[in-house]
Amino acid sequence: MSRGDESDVPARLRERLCSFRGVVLDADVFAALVGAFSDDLCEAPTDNVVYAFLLELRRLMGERFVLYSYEELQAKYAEIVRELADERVVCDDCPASPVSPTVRGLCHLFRSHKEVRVPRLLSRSGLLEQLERLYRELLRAGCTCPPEFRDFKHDFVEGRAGDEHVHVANVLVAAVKRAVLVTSDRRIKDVCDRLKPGCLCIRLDRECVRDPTQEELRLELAPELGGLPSELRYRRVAGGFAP
Amino acid sequence: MTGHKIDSWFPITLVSDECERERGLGSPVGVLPGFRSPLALARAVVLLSLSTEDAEREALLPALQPVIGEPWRTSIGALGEEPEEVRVFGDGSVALEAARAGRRVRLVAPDPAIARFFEEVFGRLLEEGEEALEELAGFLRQVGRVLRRRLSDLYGGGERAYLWIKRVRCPQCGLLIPLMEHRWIVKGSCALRVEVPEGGDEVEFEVVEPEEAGPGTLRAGRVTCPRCRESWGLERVRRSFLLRAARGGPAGAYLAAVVEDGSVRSATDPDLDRVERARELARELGRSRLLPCEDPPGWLRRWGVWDVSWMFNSRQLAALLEAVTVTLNVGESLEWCRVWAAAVLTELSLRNSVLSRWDPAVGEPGRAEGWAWEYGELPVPRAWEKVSSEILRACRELIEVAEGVEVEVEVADGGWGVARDLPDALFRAWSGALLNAPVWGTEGRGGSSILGGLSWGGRSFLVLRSDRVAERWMEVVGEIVGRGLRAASAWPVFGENVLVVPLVERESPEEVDWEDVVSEVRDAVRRLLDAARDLEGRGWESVGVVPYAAALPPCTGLDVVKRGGDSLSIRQPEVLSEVLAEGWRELVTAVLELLNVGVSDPRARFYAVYRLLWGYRESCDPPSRRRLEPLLRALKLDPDELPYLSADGRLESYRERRELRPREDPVNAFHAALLAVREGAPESALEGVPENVRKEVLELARAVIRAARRCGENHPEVELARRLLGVSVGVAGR
Repeated sequence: MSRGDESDVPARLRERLCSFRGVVLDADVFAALVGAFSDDLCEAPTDNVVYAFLLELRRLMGERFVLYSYEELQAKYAEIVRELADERVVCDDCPASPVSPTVRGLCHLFRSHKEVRVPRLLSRSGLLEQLERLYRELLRAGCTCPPEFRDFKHDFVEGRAGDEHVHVANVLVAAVKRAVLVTSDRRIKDVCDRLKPGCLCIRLDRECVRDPTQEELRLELAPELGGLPSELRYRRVAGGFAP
Repeated sequence: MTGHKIDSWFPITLVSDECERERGLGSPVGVLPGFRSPLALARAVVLLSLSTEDAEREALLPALQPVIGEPWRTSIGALGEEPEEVRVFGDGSVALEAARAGRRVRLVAPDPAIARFFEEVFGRLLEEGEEALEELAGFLRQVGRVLRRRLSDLYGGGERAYLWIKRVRCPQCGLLIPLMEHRWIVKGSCALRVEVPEGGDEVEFEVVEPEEAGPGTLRAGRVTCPRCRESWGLERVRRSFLLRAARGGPAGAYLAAVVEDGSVRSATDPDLDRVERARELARELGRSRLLPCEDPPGWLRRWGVWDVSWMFNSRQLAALLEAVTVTLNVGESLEWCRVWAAAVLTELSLRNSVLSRWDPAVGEPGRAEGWAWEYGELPVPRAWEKVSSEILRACRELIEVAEGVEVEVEVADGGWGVARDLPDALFRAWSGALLNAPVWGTEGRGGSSILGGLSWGGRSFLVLRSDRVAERWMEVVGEIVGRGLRAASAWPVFGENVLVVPLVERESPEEVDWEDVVSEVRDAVRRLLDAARDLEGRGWESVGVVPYAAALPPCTGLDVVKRGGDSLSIRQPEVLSEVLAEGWRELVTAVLELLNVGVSDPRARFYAVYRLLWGYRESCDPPSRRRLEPLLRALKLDPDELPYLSADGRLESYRERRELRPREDPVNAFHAALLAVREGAPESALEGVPENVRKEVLELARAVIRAARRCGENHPEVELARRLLGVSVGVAGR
């Protein structure tokens, strides 16, 4: 069963991660990434633990590292870039610009990305009942959005989706696409713990997201996966994970 | 006869992923004897077997890959009403899912002990629910309490696990060499240093910081004596274990470390005294009729474990026998609970045996799956409580998901034989000790490849163990055809080591041209392999079953093929092998395309494909030569002319090679080049190598690197291959 030296945490994490297909980044995590670039445009960041972690995630997942994004999420990303980078430091000739405009260096992460049509995803008859349940739980957890699922869907169709919509849609997209959801929101992590959707929620410690210059990133996994502790630390300098 | 969805469609990737998710989340059936498949797999088999061929895929997907909830809580949903009753054989998981799909199920168990367990699960537990569960919980708790009292002398207070290391005597200097793959006790935090005496024959261990530990004594399929540096192959170690077993003694081991709550220390005299006391107790208890006796699976006998009672060291055996005695005393008035005690003992034995490989990531033993050099021992009273609570949790989950199901259990009287694996042998052994269960109904079923299946009317749907299909290809084909059936299709599930096979009645087949058979097999290989395209890190070994899956329908469905004017029976061993070889040939081509490398020499192709499918396997049993035969045949290679392929099926890396000629063999040239790179003479790595071989060597280096990336492996050979490629690019640039 085991190949080579698989008894350590990174190898197990890799094995688990490789059963998921793609990654969804929430806006806060994206902001932490972009923050690292705003001072030195076109330079790879050297002191951003969130960026280092995502590069490691990409390395571990190999070809399965595909970033899922949808129109509203991209708009949110673009807004963050505008706010943090103040347009002047935006790199317009990014070879892959899933978020437009984006910052060079993020291209490493965004080179392979897939667009998702949320209205289409929400209207899949076979999934409707389960998506509604997931939606209700997110609502109950305080991730505010319209109280009715049909209104939520309708807002996407009409192009009226706001920040809260994006927050909730991230979870729905990750669950349907069997993706890894990287977030800093504890409420979302708790819902994933309770409801066990098809995604893997990696919750990054909010402090680290606010200040990604730290050397160590604390993260939690939900739901708990066999053979892996529920809490891990990622050390930027050592480039590895530890329980 | 109406076709079924499974005849033409089985979402391999989706089911493989869902099975992995179920295991990751801790499936309740994982600790229950007789529940052989993950419920996600069982549900897919049942759903797609019961659905007609015109069923919409979109409508089936939510049950196959639910968006929320644990996989085992997902229900199949509304299905047609026909058939009302199905017959399930061997697998409790398939029975449960068929019953949850609203069918009356007759569950056929080939073993009376397992049948008795199924009766308890589908009878008392599901009928009485919480009431039965409470009674069972009370019983298991009481046994646990008595065990804690009675076994307190065998273990220290806060001890959590013991690390044992098997040993073998050095034929040169007589040292009892600890057989260690690594030095870790807890990965990243503490390790072992081995103190080798100048005289005497036993080493001593010291718990040290990670940076102070040296390498293990096992490397690249060889053991090296830390005193005299004598080195020899693991096959010889295996034979010495076998010889020792023949003389009546199991393999010896060192007690190297003790993990306590919050700390790790070396073994002390009181620890060894307790082990000695346990030895006395085991000797005493071993004379009783309670000793578990049962043949283990064949792979264990190869290591000299000829009975399941040999799977334990003295203390493990003494404590487990004590648990049997206590169970019998406590359970005098609750006989039904003894079946559950046998289930607890089975799971406990898997986690607390000389096969329970030490897991340095968590600092305790893992579940026995294969041979282990370093094994862990658990204090039985604590482990009893832990396993009991897991089994009770599994029962609670079953009660919740299986409300109102109807399953009638019967013992087999013929029909399909069912594979017997280590958990089956252990459960049978403990049932024998606790319940006096009768022996298996039919001899020789241990070798069957069938994990389970279901049938009704003229249709059968089997779940086969793919490694056994590979090793008993002709027998599997013969058994299906002998029953007047043929495989409508065959679907591998990656990472699960199974092949799902829907069977239909055979009609009178027409003669078919050989070219058509070849083309059908090749197409099927490509189709099935599509599901493996984005396989990363896991499951590559199970891709090796694709040629069998592709060849099974024609080999069971046809009788005669026309080839070059001759009519040949397809079931002649030669023809069957040739059909399979066609599948392997296509798989090799497709896999090398996937790696995007252009190796053309069959020896290099063999090397590249082996590395992708079986990696470097230093710690595991390599694929047997029997399993490699079809691949070698497909590439028209004679194994005796491949000096890097050892008798036990291990493929040597550059480190084990002694003789590297002729250099016309690209694998020899590749290894020689890697050695030159390692010795700091990369410029000369490919000097004197003919141009055509040089090209093969570089492509092989690329193949090895890409295969390792896909498998998530890290081996020195891969790093050297990278450096070799780097050097060659530099030389070309100049």
